[in-house]
Amino acid sequence: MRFSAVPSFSRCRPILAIGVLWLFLTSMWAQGSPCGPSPEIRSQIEKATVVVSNPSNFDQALAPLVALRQRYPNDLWVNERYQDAVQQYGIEGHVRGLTEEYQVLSMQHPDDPTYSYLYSRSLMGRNTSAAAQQLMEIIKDHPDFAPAHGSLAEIYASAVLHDDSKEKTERVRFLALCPEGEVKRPPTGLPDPSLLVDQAESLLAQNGDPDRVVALADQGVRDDEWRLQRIRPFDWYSVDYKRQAQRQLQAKYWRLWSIEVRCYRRAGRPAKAARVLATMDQRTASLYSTRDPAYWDALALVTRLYEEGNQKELATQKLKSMQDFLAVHPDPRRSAQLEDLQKLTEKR
Amino acid sequence: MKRAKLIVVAGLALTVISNTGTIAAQHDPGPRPVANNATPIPYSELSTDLKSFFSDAMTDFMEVDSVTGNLPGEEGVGLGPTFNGNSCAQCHAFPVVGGSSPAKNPQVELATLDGAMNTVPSFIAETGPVREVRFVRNPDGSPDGGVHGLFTIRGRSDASGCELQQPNFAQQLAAGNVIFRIPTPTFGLGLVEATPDSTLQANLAANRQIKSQLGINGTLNTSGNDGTVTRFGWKAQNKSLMVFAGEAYNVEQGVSNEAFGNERAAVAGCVFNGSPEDTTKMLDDQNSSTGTAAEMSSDLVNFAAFMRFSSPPVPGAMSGSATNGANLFNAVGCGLCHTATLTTGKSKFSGMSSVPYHPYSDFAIHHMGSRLADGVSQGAAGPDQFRTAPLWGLGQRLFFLHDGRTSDLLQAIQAHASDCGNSRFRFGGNTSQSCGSEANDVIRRFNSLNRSQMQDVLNFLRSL
Repeated sequence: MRFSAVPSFSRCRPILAIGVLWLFLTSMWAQGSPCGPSPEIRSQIEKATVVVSNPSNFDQALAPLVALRQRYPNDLWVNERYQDAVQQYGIEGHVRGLTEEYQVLSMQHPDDPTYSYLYSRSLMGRNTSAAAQQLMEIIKDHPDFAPAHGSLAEIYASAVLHDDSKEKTERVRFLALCPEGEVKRPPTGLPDPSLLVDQAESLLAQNGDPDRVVALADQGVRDDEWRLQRIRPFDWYSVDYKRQAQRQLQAKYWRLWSIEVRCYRRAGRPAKAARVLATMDQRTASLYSTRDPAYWDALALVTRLYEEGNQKELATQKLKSMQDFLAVHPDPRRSAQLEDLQKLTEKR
Repeated sequence: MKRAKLIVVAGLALTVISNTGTIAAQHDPGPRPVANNATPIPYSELSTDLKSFFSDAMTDFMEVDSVTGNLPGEEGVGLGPTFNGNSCAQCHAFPVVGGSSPAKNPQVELATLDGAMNTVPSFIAETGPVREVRFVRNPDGSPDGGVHGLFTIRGRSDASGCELQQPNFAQQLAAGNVIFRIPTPTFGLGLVEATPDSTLQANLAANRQIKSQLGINGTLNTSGNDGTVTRFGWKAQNKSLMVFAGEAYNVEQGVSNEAFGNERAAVAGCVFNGSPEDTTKMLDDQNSSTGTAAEMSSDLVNFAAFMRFSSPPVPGAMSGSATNGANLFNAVGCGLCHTATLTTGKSKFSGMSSVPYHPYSDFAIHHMGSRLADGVSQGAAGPDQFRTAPLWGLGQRLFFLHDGRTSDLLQAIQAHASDCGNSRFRFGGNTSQSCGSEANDVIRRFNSLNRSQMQDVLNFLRSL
């Protein structure tokens, strides 16, 4: 159809204006205000935000929000909450999938800042500098799109792209548009390291049930592995912070295995204890070949466990390895540690 | 006339009986002993730099992978979601790191390592070979041929939330849809890589008339990308050591890398790392950007370097019997495919140019008939075609043939002969000529040797 065949643009203008207004109002109705969800949506979101017993069960944790998103697929606030939950409960695969999904949505709705915004938001904490760049693009075209200002303020408040001046500017703009709004300081919601391994060690010292002790310690390590999954995929955290968290977790693994050896011995399962200890010994050897700084502590622990189990020959072998290591890397603290272990072995 | 017929029948029967007796009487002398402190050695002619690259690369080859790299002693990152092993050296283990399957199959313990909840499939045994599994067909009947990981990371302490189940191997076995492969040894492969296509082509064309009389054809597998000869893997399907290592890292350990960048079995809840999981390092473990080649390279490059710069297997001393066996090996026709000597071309790596070496392979693919056929096609290699297995190092191998079905060298030799009639796999499009094994006539000639001669051949093979 040729353009001249349709009614002239000037005659259509009032109809178009009404149409645009209608579309705007319906979309506002669907999405709530740009400063917060409608009361109905707010209540639905609250209902869907459940406390889960097993946070590593992603599907269970997300199910209510997935259902809510199916009911309100275009609602900004439902989508935001969904994104937060994926980052809270998901692992790399989920978070990567989230970004891919919102990238597709933003491509399908190129003129809608909501989708560009949600895509940018999915990058926050993953590729935060790209997220900031895209949010600035959105603001260029839609200076009054409040959520973009809010998210930028959050980004500049975070450690990864910290900038007091920019944070203040964006916060002021955001609050001017949404006086009741709140700027968070991400990252949020990282659980504390588990205390279960400490509890297991206390219980072991009190002659607690060996199976219970092992189960506690094992869960403690698993909780911290899961916690590290809240850290590893995100650039909110520095490389040093990630390494430190990893080292803490590795130290817990050694504690878990030594708990297992002691518990299995106590429970009259020496073969199982020996198997765990032999694996610890192999792991220690591999730390040596990779020049891991944790080698010494692992070697000392394995030596002690051999000594506790009256495996004198193996304990002596390990003491010799410790001596050899000290000859190359002298250290007074470690020498004292070696002396203590030697005395213990001689006493038996 | 009748009498003549009787004599022929009686003669044939006697031949069969005597040959059967002969076969039963010979024995595989078994693997040569391995020194207690044996370790892989670099190719002797390499420069000092390359030798240290080899040594450092070996550390990576021995690195144990876990899902996240958080487990002490399992610092490699990227295991799973599906896997067959957690370290190159776990399976490439015997007689030393870089070899083939060890006597005790580590896959049994691996099934439940670190809390994993796998069951050990019936075809994996503690005293059996390390194996990978391929399914011949997809459920819709179309060709599959891909590796299906034995295990998943479900239940491991570093894989919370992953619920991926193992394939139903029992069901696939019952449907006759399962084939196996065992690890190929990796020693001396830099020399193989440095051999020009033209050398392999000329070698294959040599003695064409004798080969033809014995029913031996053979062809070289080629790369679909650049058309050059591929030469690594059971069907010579892999172009280079980098590709070989990259594929194995992704398929056997589940570690995505710079050559094979996408995660297999990428169920969102089981993907714990960004892709690729193994990359070139901008900073080494000590946070330095000026580390050695091995420190800055990806695992993939290190694996390839370890294989490339390793020394070929060192043969044992040749007894009189073994020397005689070597002659018989050639006289019977084994050496027509198991080419004793090839020569490298010009190589960038020091000491590797124009070097004669002794792989006992033509690196070509041959139809091996129904007894060995696995129904899997890879590149130009069809369902019953296999690369001539290099025999260097055979003296210290524990399991033979692509699926490790036997530890007996004599049985491995006999398995080279078969017709096309009894295979459970179809050979779509193959002519009757390629339907049986190209080795049939050679094995017939081998079986016509007397007892002592056969033993000589076995002794020779165990000297390699």
